[in-house]
Amino acid sequence: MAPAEQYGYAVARLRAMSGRLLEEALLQRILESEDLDSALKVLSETVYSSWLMELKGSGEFDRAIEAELLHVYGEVQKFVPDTALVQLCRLPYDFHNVKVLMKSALLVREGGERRFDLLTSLGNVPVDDLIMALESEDFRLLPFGLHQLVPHCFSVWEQSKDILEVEKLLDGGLFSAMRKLGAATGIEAASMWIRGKIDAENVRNLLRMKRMDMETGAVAGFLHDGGLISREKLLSLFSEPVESWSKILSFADVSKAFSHVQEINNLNSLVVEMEKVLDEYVADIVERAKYLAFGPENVISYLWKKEMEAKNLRIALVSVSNDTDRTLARGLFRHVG
Amino acid sequence: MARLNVNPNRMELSRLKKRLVVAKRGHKLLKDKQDALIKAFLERAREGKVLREELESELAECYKSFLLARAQTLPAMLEQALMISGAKCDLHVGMQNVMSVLVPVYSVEQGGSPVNYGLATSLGSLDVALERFAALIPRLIALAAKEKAINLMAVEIEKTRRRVNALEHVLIPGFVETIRYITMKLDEQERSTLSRLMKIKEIVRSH
Amino acid sequence: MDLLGIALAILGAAMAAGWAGAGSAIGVGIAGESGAGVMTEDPGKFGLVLLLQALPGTQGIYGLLIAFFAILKVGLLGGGAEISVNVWQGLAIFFACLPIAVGGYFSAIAQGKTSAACIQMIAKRPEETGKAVILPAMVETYAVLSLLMSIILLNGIKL
Repeated sequence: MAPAEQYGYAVARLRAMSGRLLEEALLQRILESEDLDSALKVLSETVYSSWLMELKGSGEFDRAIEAELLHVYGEVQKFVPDTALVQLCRLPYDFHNVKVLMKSALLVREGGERRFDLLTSLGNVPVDDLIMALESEDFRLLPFGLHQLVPHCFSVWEQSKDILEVEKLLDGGLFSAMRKLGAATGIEAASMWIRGKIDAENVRNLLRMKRMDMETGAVAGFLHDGGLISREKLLSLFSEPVESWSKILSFADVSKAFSHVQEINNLNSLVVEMEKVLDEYVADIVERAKYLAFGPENVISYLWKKEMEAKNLRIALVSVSNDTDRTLARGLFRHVG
Repeated sequence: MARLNVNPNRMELSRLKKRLVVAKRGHKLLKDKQDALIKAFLERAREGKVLREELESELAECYKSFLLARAQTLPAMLEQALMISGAKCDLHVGMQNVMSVLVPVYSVEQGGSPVNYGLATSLGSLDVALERFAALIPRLIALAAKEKAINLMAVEIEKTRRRVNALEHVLIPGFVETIRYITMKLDEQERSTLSRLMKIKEIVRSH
Repeated sequence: MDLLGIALAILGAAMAAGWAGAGSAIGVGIAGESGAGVMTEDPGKFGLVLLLQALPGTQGIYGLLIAFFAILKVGLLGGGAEISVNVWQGLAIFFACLPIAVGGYFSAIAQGKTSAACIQMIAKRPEETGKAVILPAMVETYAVLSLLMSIILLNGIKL
């Protein structure tokens, strides 16, 4: 961990940048637009304007969102003393890329085609390096434990031909890589954030599996270690009805999330709503950052808020472009910061 | 009215009379078939319409929940989750005879789970959407079968109607006309034979 | 013996100027880093940022002031007539300089941090500038108290 004084510049800059996050009112304005073009016009008053100009058509707004996110990640990475914090936030995209390449490789074996168009440059490892590694089957230089994980995944596929197993391995790898990366920074707030995030992920997965009525035996494979709630506790949770989860989990912070959901009886809508509430919970873990002028957690806090902004914006734009029920979109907005 | 191009003789007359009877019976039968077909068709069409409306609203619901999933994540991530599918869908076609129309009957067997992706990089909304779609597939196929049947029946009705019309407006009047023509021709012949005979008789008597 | 008295007085003056100045330098540095961060994103905030950055700088000036007082007292300044200072008097001047040396050093750093935080605050809420200036100024109180004490003590020393 870099000395706290070094964060003076970074935090100040992040504060200034977070002042430019899209406000709730602006999202509402986008949502109230008649069609996509007028929604993009509203958006062009914001930091997104430079990306909007590069679009070929208004349907490509996803590209603008991704470009802005990429720009922010690149920018923050340049001035943050502990770049590991940024890597932490970008890690899910690396694993997404690996999944794409791996599935592509498996599809090619069965006569399918590669889907390089699904790769995103939001990850830490440059896309070209990843492609090179996967194509030449030379995994030695891959970071984040991927050098062992990827060959292992391929051998698991050979044996079981079950992509779910492979995905489970990669998901587990993602969280253990996050834990390692967080611990290596020596920043306690980062470790705490990761633990909270793992909790949120576990609860989310439990809920999804509960909804799917999965067998109890299969559940354990989808849970991740390292959260504040132990795996055993979570497993015992699975046999309980959802209504009592918040009571059982009341010792953990994650139970706060349950108090924000109203409809606990309809699992379908609960899953959707929990997803939103848990995102807010993850933001909440590092919310203390706002009182710390030199706290590294500001980095995580800002980046997570940026991710939420991207999500909110996408929800709004998708809703406008498909002309769906606006109150539905409004209910999905993540309220952070 | 078109008269058939036949030799006006008794042979032909009796043959035509037989054909007329057959044609009239055929016409009656076809007419019955057509009525029954139309009845069945209307019934099915009504059902099909209801089913279609129902499914369309349900499909819209499905798309809505899919849109939820799409709105909350990177589009590439969504597609990545769906790259390798775990669900299987076997479709068998059988045939059923409705009023001599061969109507397809599909049977669907769904296997595997539609949820075949890691949970960390996907959304719960996607599970919901996929399950809804999976549940909808058999009904969609049933609707397809129904609409195909309606389609085939419409073609059959059209064909029958043409036949009925042909019998009613062309064939039967043709027969009637020809029969009348032949009878008249034969009567004419008879009269001319008669007059000739009378003439001959007169000539013979005057001698 | 005379020389040791003068030397002690000089040590006091040096510490007052040195430590208070060092504290101010660190404080201004911390505030400056934050200021640079904000200005990267929003160059229009230069005026406010400069004001907040300058606040921890006062301790250095206070230290300098006391240092002047001290060397004036022992007559090193302006080439005036040499005043004889014995060891005890020199030691007294040294001690009188300590409040601003120590108080200045720590208060300047603390003020620097507060200033940095306040600079971050105006980055997010430009409308709260008035409040942002008051918070670091509170720290200034204690630097002023140290200064006051140093002056009183220096005045109290009879040569």
